[in-house]
Amino acid sequence: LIRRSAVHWLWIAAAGATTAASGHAQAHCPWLNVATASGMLNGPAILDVQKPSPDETVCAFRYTVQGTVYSLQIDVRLHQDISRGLGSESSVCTSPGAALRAIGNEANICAEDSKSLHSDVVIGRVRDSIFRVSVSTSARNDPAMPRDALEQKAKDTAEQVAGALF
Amino acid sequence: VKTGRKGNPGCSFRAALICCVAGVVAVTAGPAVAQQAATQPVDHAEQRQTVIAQEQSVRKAYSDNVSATYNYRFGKDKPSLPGNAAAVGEGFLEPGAFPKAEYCAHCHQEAYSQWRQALHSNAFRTPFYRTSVNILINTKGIEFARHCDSCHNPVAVLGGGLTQDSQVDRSFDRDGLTCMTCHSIQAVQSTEGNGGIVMGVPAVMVDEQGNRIPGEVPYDEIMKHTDRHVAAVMRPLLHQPEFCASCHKANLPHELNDYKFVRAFTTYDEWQNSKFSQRNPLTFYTADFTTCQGCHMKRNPNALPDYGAKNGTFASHRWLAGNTAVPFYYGFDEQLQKTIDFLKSGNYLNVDIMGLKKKGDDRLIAPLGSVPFSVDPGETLQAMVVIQNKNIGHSLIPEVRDLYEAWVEFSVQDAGGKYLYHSGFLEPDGSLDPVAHSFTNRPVNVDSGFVDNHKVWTIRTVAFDNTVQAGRSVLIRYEFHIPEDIQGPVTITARVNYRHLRQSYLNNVFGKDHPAYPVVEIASRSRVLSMGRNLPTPALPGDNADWMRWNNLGIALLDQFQYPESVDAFSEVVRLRPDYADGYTNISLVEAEWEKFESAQMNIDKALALNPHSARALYYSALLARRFTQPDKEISQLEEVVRQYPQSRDAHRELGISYYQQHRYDDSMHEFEALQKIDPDDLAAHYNLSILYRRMGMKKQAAEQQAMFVDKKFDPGSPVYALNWFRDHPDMSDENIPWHLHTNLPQQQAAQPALGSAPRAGAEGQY
Repeated sequence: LIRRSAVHWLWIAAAGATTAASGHAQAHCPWLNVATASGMLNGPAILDVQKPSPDETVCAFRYTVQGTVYSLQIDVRLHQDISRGLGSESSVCTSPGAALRAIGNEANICAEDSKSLHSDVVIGRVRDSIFRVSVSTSARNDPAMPRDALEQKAKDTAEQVAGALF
Repeated sequence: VKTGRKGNPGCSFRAALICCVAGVVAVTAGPAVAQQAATQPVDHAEQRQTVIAQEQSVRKAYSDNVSATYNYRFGKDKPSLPGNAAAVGEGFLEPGAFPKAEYCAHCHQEAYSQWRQALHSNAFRTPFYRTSVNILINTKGIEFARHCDSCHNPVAVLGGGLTQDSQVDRSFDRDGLTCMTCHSIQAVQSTEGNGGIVMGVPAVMVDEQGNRIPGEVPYDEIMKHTDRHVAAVMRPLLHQPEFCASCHKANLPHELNDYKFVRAFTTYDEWQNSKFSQRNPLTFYTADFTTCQGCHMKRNPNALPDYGAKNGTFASHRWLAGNTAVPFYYGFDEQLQKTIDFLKSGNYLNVDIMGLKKKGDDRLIAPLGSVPFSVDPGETLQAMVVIQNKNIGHSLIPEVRDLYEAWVEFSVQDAGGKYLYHSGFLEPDGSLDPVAHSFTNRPVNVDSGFVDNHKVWTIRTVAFDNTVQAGRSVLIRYEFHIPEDIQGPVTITARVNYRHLRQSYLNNVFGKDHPAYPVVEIASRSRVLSMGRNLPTPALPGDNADWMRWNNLGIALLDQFQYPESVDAFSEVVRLRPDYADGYTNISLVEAEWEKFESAQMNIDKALALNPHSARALYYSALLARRFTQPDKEISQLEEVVRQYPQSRDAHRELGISYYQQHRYDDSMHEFEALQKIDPDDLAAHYNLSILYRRMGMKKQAAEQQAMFVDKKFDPGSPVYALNWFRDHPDMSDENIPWHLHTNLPQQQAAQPALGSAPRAGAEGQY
């Protein structure tokens, strides 16, 4: 039974409403709203949107609790050379990629682990847009976000992103 | 399978209440109710009242929160417009109020397993849907998507999620129409469609008094009171075709298109007018009463445990129909195969290569297989292919004819398999032969351009709209030449193929580098023509009897306005079956259309002599009585039809007119009101009621009916858009004409039609 304490939930709800409001005022992610991202991260997320180039947009959602940072990042860019673009994105994988069915035109999932961040990443495309979705926790062996949860959340988010890109 | 408790991470109810009090309702507050209900039994009335009150409190807080920023573009009292979805009670309904499908799966594994692969669970998330609705969102605004999502994602619409910068957690998108979407619907507003449901607060139990207990309930509670579970989730409405009408009928309202009411599709009406409804006396054939559910939710042995199974069978929650694209995309192989099997079951269409005509000879050689004939090298032949919609309770294709693609593939091959003629082939790039006879349409916009990507809000009219209505038949003519040097026999084959979706739309969705989507042959028939004399051949299983073949030809010719030939065909029917009253009715019907009223009267009298109680014959007899100014006979016959068929649209309409003409205004009003109850969009009802109400001094009602008539009536200016489209696509112009010829011969060699347009000779000359 997955249950949270009343205090914990109240905190999430209050913070969620607050960040939703601030997210609303500050930034807008075209493919995923703050509420859905907060649901993925199990807590109220803060959104930062960057546009590194005219053809690329990055939405970074972050939720921090008790020193652990949970993040969900969406990076979408237009590519002229799809295979090269997908290959380039996949170079960050620290585990063999696995093909995913029914997310965009094509998609793969892999792990991207470093000392400070443990992520599952979905890299895929819709037509000539390449997307990269990563869901991360800063805690190793995080009981609140185990590996299978990271993977499922990355897939679910990627499906949302791909759906918005179609 | 997860239990509801494990499957629904959420907050405790107390915490949710605190959230509400604090005025900071989380967007996921809904699950709190379900969660709490799942953790506490609801055996006691006090507890139940608490659960109900708590849900109301959570909902109010949620709704107030959403309302604060919601885009009420179409009015504060109509938050779902341009869609019609509504919920019981006040305000938005929190998405978390819907128990997850996984909760239901604990006891209904078969249902869950089927539903997960079915169209309903994938109603929102598929790329085929998203591609179109995203255009609407990105060009007009997300609030307009309420029109589509009232059916495709009612949880989002009723939850107030379709507004700019929504802060509703959309994780439910992947479940589309979840179990508790359909099983919570309390009523349909009318049969107008556009998602005209009335959603109850989801409940899987009622108490002893029948009060709905919101949210999830412990499984053991359900098992203790299965009758109360059934009362909550299995309303009789679920078995009725009107339930399906809420989404399988649609129009484009002026709020969506800034234009006027445009009819989209009417699958429910088509069923109602089919033989399967037993509500329409005018069908050419009869059948046992069968609802939408009767075909699309057939009972099958269940493979997985399911408490909903009865005697080892379970009502299918696959809703098998024509959609192969979704299971193909998601890799739902079982759903895909069952869909293909459904389409290929052989029940739905009959393909009949009914007859031949030789160039320069008007005689019809028919029915092929039953009469001897000869074919010689060097002859030019016209094959007459009759496609009968034999057992589909709606048209082919009933919905979204601009994207879904059925067509006739016709081929003539020599003994070596070489094509002498091939229509309806697929190009190497997957696109369909552009001049194939297809059961598709071409909607056009205000610029006379083809409305691609299902941008329905831009539709002004349709250039052509080919279909086969339920119970009817179409005749397609193919002309080809037998070479002088032909060796051996030729084989002619006609088949009806189906692809979900057309290639150009698939290209729009994915780009051109996608896998080929399945093409399914629904029905086919071949015949071998030997050079020289051809003797009769035995019928194949599935072939119609000769009288029915003639009957279908007569129906098709009637719809092509070929009245003399139609009468000839129906005359063959009564020659073969002189006791068949409908044969004479059919002749009478054609003759009345042809304005041969005396002969029509004679034949309808023959029909009534054979079957004095035939509602169909009485109906047409009444119309002839009107023509001959016999109002008493006219009215008494129509009254008898209405008595036999109280839900007949046509009978109510005509009786309303008859009463009106006899100045029986109250009776007339009653009939048009009855008609409007059956079809809320019926133009005759709007028009006549506006007049009748005004006559009765009911000015407000008269104005309402008048306004609806003006909004729904045909726009006489709209054909201009279609004509301009045809000017740009002359090779397609014949598709708008009932009588047309498909041929690969140069124009001067092609036979001239008896009526209608010039044949499309040369259009397929490259083949």
